[in-house]
Amino acid sequence: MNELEIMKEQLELMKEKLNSQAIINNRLLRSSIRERLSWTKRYTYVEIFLLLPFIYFMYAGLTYQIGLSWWLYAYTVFMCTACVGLDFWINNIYISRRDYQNKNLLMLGKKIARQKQLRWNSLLFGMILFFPWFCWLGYELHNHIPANEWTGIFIGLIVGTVIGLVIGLVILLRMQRTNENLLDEINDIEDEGEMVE
Amino acid sequence: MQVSEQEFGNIVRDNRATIYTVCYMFAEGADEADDMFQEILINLWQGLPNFRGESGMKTWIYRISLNTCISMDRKKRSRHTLPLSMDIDLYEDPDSDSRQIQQLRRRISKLKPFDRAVVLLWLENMSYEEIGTILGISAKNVSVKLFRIKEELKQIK
Repeated sequence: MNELEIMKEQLELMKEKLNSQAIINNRLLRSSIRERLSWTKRYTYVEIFLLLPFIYFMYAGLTYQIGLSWWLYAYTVFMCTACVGLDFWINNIYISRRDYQNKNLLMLGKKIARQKQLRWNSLLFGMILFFPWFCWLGYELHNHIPANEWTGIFIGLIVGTVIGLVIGLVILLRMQRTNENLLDEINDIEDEGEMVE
Repeated sequence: MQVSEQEFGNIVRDNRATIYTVCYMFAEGADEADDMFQEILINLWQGLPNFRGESGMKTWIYRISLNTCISMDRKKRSRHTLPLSMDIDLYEDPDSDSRQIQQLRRRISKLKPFDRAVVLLWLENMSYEEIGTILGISAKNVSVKLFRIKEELKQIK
């Protein structure tokens, strides 16, 4: 067998050995996780820079126009700011850049799982603030809107609330699914014994 | 070519032996091979949107891998890298298979970087045209280089 044939055999041997290995690039995996969660961070910036100002100004206009209580407006501002602030902390601050770089994959996975739970807690917190606000708004509208317009306003209030809740829930469920998919992949790597940390 | 991250992961998994083989032949040690491997993955990810599928996936991966390693060989920079995880160390393992692989590497690493690329592709049973496509030279140029490389390898033990 000539030397070049021997070299070909040696190369085949090498590739057989390598094919039996799982070569995991941790850096790429972490960067992939960070990239897949990045849309949740971008969404919170949309909440802060678009949604909140819109709510503040729109609601101030309604309050002035209809003659609603400015205390209700203050509570509305507090409720929306608190919910968005909590969203921002959960999605932007809770898992930091350092966590992606330094924490081992198992610890990062635990944080991703905890982030899911925090989002459910945040939903509960939002509901607790929301129901009193909804009742208070209903009461205020009832006192300030003429009786013949009340039905239309009431229907609009209900429809608007339902639409808002559905949109919010869809976005929340999509965020949770992103985390679930990441956790499945981290668990798969762990199950196959490919993770060294 | 737009692919999801999962599809990219599958592409890397299917071609990991090819990519690491190239790194192994160009790097002087495991750390440098790790560095090259990660650099290749980054280049593959960034290059995927421009890959139109005119050449095969394997050909394209070879091209990116070889260009990256040749380029890094020129620059020879060092930087902090997270290590790859593997159970074997092709540079140090004492078993007979690994020693054969190390012998292969010793011979090939004595060649100039571009010549290493030519011989690697030839050892993969690629045609002169395929080798030329990957390296950006004519098939005739490949045959001339291979003739010279074979003569050189005869002198290397």
